[in-house]
Amino acid sequence: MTDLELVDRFRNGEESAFNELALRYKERIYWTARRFVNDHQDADDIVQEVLWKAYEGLRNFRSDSGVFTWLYRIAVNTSLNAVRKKRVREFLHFDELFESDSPESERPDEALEKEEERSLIDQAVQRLPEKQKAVFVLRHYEQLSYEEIAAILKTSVGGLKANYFHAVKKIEEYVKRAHGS
Amino acid sequence: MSNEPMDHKEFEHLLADYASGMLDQSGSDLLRAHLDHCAVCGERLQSFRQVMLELRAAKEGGQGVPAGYFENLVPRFRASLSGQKDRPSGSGWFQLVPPFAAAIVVIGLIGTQQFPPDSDGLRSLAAEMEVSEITDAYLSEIEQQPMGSIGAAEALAGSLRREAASRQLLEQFGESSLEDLAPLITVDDLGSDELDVLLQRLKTRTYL
Repeated sequence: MTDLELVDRFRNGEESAFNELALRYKERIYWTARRFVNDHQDADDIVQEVLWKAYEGLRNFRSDSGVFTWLYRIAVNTSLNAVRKKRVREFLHFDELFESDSPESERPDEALEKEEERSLIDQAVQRLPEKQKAVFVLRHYEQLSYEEIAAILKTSVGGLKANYFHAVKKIEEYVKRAHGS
Repeated sequence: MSNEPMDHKEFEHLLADYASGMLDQSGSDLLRAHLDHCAVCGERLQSFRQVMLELRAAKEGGQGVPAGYFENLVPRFRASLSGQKDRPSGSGWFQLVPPFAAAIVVIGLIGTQQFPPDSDGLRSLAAEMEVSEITDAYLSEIEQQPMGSIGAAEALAGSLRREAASRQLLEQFGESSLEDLAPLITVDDLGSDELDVLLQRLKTRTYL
């Protein structure tokens, strides 16, 4: 069954059609979010928010863009917003302050995530400007075409190659600086 | 690829795709011809190839997901949907204030000169103020102070807690469309514990 058929079924009251769509795209949404925030818990929050937005918005969904494009757009925007919020929280040192009380510190994968955070490459990706980061995540990790990325970000294809180039260049420069070369 | 001759910058922009193996055949052919006589791009390509190797290693080594996570993801969503709980915050339109306003808010909080004795005091002061009063105070401070520092914490906190004030602010900022605006971390967003910490820090002027 196609995505649009599922959308129609959902609009006609078939709740399970939404489940099918969510099952179809859950991993892509998750990994897109995860590349933006580099943290499982944050990515999970984003996925749940994306599903909420999709659930609420699907009845008004216009089929001029595909479901796939629409969901990616929600995922990217929600991820960017989460990054902004996180930045403010980090600036205010809230996370650090509440660290000892946080249930996150009890998560079994904490060691692994700390290891990830230490990864130079991940740091470099996290530091990219928003647009470049979005293009980089969608191109490098999701392997989307520039046409697909343009549809998701509602932009023209023209500047995307330059965005991707500058993203990789910034990562390269960050890694070089960190290595002291 | 168009038939127009490409300049150096355009070739340069193909390097990342080429290094990651995502450049199409015609683009690859053109770039290879350019690489034959462009040392700058040749060097950059070597660096990019190294970065791509590191990116690949980072991608493969880690990024763990708890066991059963994906299997439970949709059922968890369904559970929260039926219970109407655990809903992520951020759906209120009043949070749709531009990022620069968020920065102003944070800087404003940090730059506050007069602090109420405690957060309860701040909350009650804010509750007593009129919407227009709060908004006017907020906007005039932004205009007068460098970096948008705000003279009264209660004006800020009050304005952010009131939908009408936020709407007024938004209009003042000249935003005609809410569509592309990012959510703002409001004082409410921060949660009561965090707000208390923030106020505590303001009192001790940790960030001044």
